[in-house]
Amino acid sequence: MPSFKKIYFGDYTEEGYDTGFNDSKKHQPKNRFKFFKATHPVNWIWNFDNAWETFQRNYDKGYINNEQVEHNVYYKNNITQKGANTMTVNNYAAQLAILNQFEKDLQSLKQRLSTLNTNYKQQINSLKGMGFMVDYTNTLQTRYVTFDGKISDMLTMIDKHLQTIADHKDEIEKNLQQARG
Amino acid sequence: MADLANQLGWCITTKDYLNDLIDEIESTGKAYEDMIDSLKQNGYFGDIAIPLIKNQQQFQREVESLKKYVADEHLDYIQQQVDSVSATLKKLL
Repeated sequence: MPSFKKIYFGDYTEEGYDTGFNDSKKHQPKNRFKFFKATHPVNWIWNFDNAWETFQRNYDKGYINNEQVEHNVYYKNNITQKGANTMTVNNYAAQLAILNQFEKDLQSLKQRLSTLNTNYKQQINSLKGMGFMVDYTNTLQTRYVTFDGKISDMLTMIDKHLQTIADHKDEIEKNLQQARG
Repeated sequence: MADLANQLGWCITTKDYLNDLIDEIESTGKAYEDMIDSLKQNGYFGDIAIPLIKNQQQFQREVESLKKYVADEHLDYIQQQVDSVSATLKKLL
């Protein structure tokens, strides 16, 4: 039960973080509507903006932090013990596994950036008819063009980085084959 | 009144999308660092790793730049509208 102070200020930082962290831990998709389970109904009216914002922002942080924890565990599990300065088959195999995993991360980021950019574009397109001042919508539309360009530049950079990773994977693969004899 | 509520909803949803974007690039930036560290611990370092390290540094610079741009030019601007709509709603209620 949220305290009076929490309800008064509409601060759901802690509930948001814990809910996000636990959802991610259980591999459940993000669900923003958990807000209504975690908050006092008074805050659905009183101080709603702050309650919603603190919950959602920290839900995302908790969700991402758990993913990061699992990600780090994955990398650590792929680090094999190696002797002295000798490169072993296991070293090469671990290097490939690490690059493969990060390749997936970059491909996933590309998809997410494209999706979020499309979402933002749809929001911008829906501005008209919502009663915003014309100056406000015009400014945002202009800024969106620059935003879209920056996302496009980032996607191009990611493609180049993916190519670099692919080149390094090829070299490591050759070394691995040689080490296996 | 309905218009103002819709505008507030629009602002909140849009800010969510932009904050998600920042979280995603930050998270991948951290994963990039982890990847370089893990490779190093597995004997992949020195000249051979330089292109990957340079890419990671470039990625980090772009992440910082995009974060700043989104915060300054978009999130702040949308927040101004949130403040304005909220103030009007308070007067009406």
